[in-house]
This record gives sequence, structure tokens and C-alpha cells, in this order.
Amino acid sequence: MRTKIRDIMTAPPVCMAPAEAVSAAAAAMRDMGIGCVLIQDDGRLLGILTDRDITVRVLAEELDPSATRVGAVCSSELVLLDPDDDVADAVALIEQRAIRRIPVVRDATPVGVVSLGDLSLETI
Amino acid sequence: MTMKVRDVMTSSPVVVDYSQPVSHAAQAMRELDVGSLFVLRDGLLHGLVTDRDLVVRGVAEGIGPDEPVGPLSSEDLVGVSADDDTADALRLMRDQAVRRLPVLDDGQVTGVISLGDLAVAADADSPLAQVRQASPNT
Repeated sequence: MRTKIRDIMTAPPVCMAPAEAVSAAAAAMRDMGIGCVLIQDDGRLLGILTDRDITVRVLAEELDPSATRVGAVCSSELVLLDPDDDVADAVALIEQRAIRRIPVVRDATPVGVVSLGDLSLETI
Repeated sequence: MTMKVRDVMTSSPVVVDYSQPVSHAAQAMRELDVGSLFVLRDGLLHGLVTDRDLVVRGVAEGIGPDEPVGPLSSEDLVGVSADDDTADALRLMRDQAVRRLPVLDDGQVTGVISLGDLAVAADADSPLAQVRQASPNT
């Protein structure tokens, strides 16, 4: 039975530097079929940017996606998981924080993402 | 007792016109706390556009906030009736790999039912239901 985060997470995560353009993040979401990218600087996780974030923080603000940096519009992610954490920990965090994605980090380096979809696949 | 779509659906779906700019659709989604809008063309239901569509069909293809939103929508929508069982709605969502369906009455859009709505109805304490009921990000 898959009970550890490392067993269910999506890895490796798609990471981008903070100076990269939102348009590049959108292309990655399209090409990889994913809903978020992690923002990384020098191997360290800085934040997370989702497709919803691009809609409400860039498009709704009438900003040019090719001229907007991902670092400027991402969420500075405070909720994290370790690969050795239990799946139950992810469920608890998702419930408590009402979020749908949690980056997985080992020694401050992002190694994956756990989403509500990953959890749903395990329980349905 | 079987639950009906009408017990769970959201009425008064939010619509946007085919010719409206992407930025207007994005603003509507943000202000109304929704992830999708029905697209009308000449007053008739044309399709559905989601926040993800604006990004992967719009931004990723170089289509910016000033351009019309209509071409980014999904057409040929499968719908349900308010009198259908929620179990049928869930099965349809799985078959179509979608998370929301229009509720149609004689071709008119009368509402929308989402996977989140079904989760809340099934178990208000489940993780998906908690996420569904929480305030969206801005």
C-alpha cells in the first residue's frame, strides 16, 4: 500500500527561475499537462505558480504574460512536505489550508508536487 | 434516496460573450469566484471556457489578454438535465474527463454542476469538499 509521499507525488517537478516569463510557464503547463510550476533559485524553492494564478494575477490585471516575471506573481509557498511524510499528512494539509497542491522538498530542494488529483487517484 | 442534479447544481451560471477579451473573462472568474464560464455566441450557448483554458490555450499559444475569448472555449458540450440522478452526472464527468457539466433545459443553460458540488453533497467533511468550500485565491 502506498502510504508515503514519495510513492504518490509527481516527480520531478517542473521548475523555473524567478526571472522567466509567465508565457514560458504557460507553455510548460500546456506541454507537460500540469497545473503548476515551482519557482526555484539556486536550487532553493521560492514559490509556486498555478494556472489559476496566471488567470487572476496576470490576465485579469491585463498584464502582458511575456513581459511579466513568474517571480513577481507566484505564491511564496509556506506549506511543504517531505518525501518521507505520510499520505495522511498531505490529506490533513490540503484540508486545513484548502489548497490543492503542495511542493515536496528534501533539504530545501524541490523534488516533487503532491496534488489533490494525486490523492484522489489513490482513494477512488 | 437518489440525489438529483437539481439538488446539487449551481443555478445562474456565469456567461461571457464570444467576442469579449480574455482579460474580461479572467476578471469575471476572479470577481465571481468561479473557474469556468459558459460562452455565448449570438445569444446561444457556444461552449465553456475555464481558467486553465485561458492559460494553456491562450497564453501558451501567444494569445494575450486583449484578444477574444471565444476561440479558447471547448465546444460540443455534453450536458445533463436537472432531473438526472447525480450518479449519472458523476459517470458522465468520468467518461468525458471533465469536472463540470452544463445543466440544460430545452437547450437553455439553467445551471452548472461540478465535481466539487458532488463531493460536498456526498461528504461535506472530505478534503475535496473542504477545498471546494474554501475561498479562492486572488
